[in-house]
Amino acid sequence: MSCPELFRTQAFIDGDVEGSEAAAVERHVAECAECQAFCVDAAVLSDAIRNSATRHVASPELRRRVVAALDAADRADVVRPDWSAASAARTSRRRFWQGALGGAGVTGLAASLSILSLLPPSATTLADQVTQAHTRALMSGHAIAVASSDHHTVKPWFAGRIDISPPVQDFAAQGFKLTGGRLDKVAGATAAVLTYQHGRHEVDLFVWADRGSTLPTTGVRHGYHLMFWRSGDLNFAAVSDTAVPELADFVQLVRSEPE
Amino acid sequence: MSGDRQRFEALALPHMDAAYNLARWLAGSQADAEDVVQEAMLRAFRAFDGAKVENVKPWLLTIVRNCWRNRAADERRRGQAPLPAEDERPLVFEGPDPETDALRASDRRQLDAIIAGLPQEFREALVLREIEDMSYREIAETTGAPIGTVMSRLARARAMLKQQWLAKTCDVLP
Repeated sequence: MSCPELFRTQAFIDGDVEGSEAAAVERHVAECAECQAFCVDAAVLSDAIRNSATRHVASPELRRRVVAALDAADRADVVRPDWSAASAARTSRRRFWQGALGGAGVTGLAASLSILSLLPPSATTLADQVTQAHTRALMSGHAIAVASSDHHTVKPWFAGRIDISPPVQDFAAQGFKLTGGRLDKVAGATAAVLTYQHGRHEVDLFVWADRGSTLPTTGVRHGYHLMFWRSGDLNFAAVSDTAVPELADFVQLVRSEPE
Repeated sequence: MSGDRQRFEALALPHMDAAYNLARWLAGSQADAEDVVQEAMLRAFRAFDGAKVENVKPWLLTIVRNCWRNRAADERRRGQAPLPAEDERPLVFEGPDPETDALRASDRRQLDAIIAGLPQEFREALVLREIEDMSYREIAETTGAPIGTVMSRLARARAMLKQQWLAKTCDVLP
């Protein structure tokens, strides 16, 4: 660590900086790559610890022991200490940083921690996993296994690689240019992923066999917008950092286009 | 039951899990941690009526920490040096296997093992911040360290945690 502001940035992330000082930290972080990376790492680690590390709890037996010890020591003298236990409410900035920097600053750390959420597919984990698969692919540069804007090339590529037949369409005329496809994992199942370019934004369309999961509603994860739907026996997820109305346009194109 | 006792139970007992969590992360074994908590709760109760406690949780955790330190010192004097916490846990890292359903348990074991392996000052700062969600001021009060020291310990703890987590999991990166 070399940035002299790093401790202050950390205090900001930990909710220990308020008011005008917080604004000053935000201005600094906006211009400091090191502090941005630190914010993302700290947010990811924090999530991992809070979700996965053990919080040991006192056993009923220990509680009984303590009460028994207090019984033995109980005394009758009463004084009135000055109680003002309310501690200042501290706001956590973790969510903000995960949202704000999820796209730009996802590090190897964030990618490696994605294994944390390879869980049985609930709506929440599905949303997380689709986002993580999307960011992982972008970060690793492996977003496209078969690069082609020709759906007659992309469609056969999936045959023999996956036991579903995803609808493959090019929407270049409407602003969403098919760039290729790849395979990815979503909730333990292999998904066909079609990649599209919309302006400067990548749009991934995940398609996988329905297993009766509850699909998440439209949402935002780590700064990416997500839309899920079901069609026949296939589940679909569109994910991108493009604006919501544009992603909705894309989804409408996919859904209206007969295979 | 005395009013004192009632007040203590109302204000301190809700923090028993926090007390045990800290003791367990410090002591490394359930039996030691339970002994530490029992002693700490008793001491806290005795100190309670005279103590002007503004914030019960760090006050209680300070006592837990002191009990653990005294106990560890006693055992060293008796020549029964307790193993450091990190040596009592198997530091076996299982290769991450994204296909298994036991993944979450595996994550938990790996994270716990890494945290348990951190030097005590860094471990307790991280546990108090991230698991007990305490402020810098509260952590400083609990550990008897200046806030600046708390900040540097937290930063070091995070750097070590990140490095070790990556070292154990980098083979699953795409």
